[in-house]
Amino acid sequence: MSHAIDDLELYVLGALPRDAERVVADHLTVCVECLTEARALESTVWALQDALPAPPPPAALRDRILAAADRPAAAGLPALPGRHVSASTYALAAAVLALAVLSVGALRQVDTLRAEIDESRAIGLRVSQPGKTWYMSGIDRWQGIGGMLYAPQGSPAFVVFHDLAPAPQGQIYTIWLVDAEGRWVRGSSFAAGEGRVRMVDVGVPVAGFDRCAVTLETRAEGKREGPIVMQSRFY
Amino acid sequence: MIEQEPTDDGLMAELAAQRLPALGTLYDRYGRLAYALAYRILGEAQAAEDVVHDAFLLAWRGAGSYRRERGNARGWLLSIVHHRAVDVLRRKTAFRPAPLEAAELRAGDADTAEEAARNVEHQGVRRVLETLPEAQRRTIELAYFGGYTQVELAALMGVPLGTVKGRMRIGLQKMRRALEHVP
Repeated sequence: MSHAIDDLELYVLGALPRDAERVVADHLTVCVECLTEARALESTVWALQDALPAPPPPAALRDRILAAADRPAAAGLPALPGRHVSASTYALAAAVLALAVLSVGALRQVDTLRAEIDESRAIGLRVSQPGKTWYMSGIDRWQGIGGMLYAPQGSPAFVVFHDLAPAPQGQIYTIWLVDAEGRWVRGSSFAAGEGRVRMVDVGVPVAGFDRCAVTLETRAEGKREGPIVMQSRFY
Repeated sequence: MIEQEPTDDGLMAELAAQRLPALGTLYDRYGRLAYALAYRILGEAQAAEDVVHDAFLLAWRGAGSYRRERGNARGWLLSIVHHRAVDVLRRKTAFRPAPLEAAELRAGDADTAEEAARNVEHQGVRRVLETLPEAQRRTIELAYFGGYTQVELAALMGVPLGTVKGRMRIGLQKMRRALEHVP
């Protein structure tokens, strides 16, 4: 059996990407030797935690936690770290997110709701396929919005955006892929409608790229000129 | 009769049985430490509070998956806090590897040795950190408190991945040996 010894320091310090971290976590469930070493390293890292001074937590936090725990289900929380999240879980989460968003629009016209439900179903179906994902988060004045790029195996990549406002007059959102050398390749452009969840095809293959971003452009082709609205992290 | 404090393992069993007072006791025991860790990583009171809130709820809901043989309750809980805080930090920050000087300005990148120095209860840890060469100490701090992955650290510091790993390994080994002599 191969060991995870080479990655244990990275693991206990949280410096592995999440997918690699899961591989090590899985290995630790079956390898006593690596688990023993990992525990020893963790106790060293805890010394860093013990050294931390900080203002005390707000007095109300304890009650807030207990009140939330006392409710039937604390919705909207992420999965426990280290657990594998299956594609179907993503699909379910996306469907729940879409439905939650739909509830906000409950006072809209029925036709609009029906169209959004249809789109949510389509999103749920597409994100249920296994593949890679990148999350893009809004920056600067676009903080709070974001989009998950899905690259399903054997199917074109697409992005599910949330909270994206319609593009300003005369401008379009443009998806970009970025390779390890910093080369930006243009994907599709769109204006974004009123729906708070929106799916857009990337328009170009994602193989060979490791980052993605969305900008606001004034032209439907050519080099990147506009501001970056959202971007993924560097992995 | 004096009521005995439950052990961590006893608390986790209570938590798995969904007994709410156990969650309160767990918070009383580790809430401050959890908040300190989240605050150090995120540098914001509100964000740290939200992370601790979520982490304790995750612990409440996931107590049934806790396995003592894979680590103790404190480690399990604080790993949830760390994981969650780093995820929040990573979502907030840009993907581009910033220059090291910029990284140094991030709230989560403060000098742990200096912070430890202000915490008089942990002078021993400060001394241990000070024994590490600057490059090893900063690599460990930027990874653990700054939320940087190995690839980002290599880009930030302008060194190969192997050097990042080496600094972590040797730094942690030295800390481990030194901590054995800290009272």
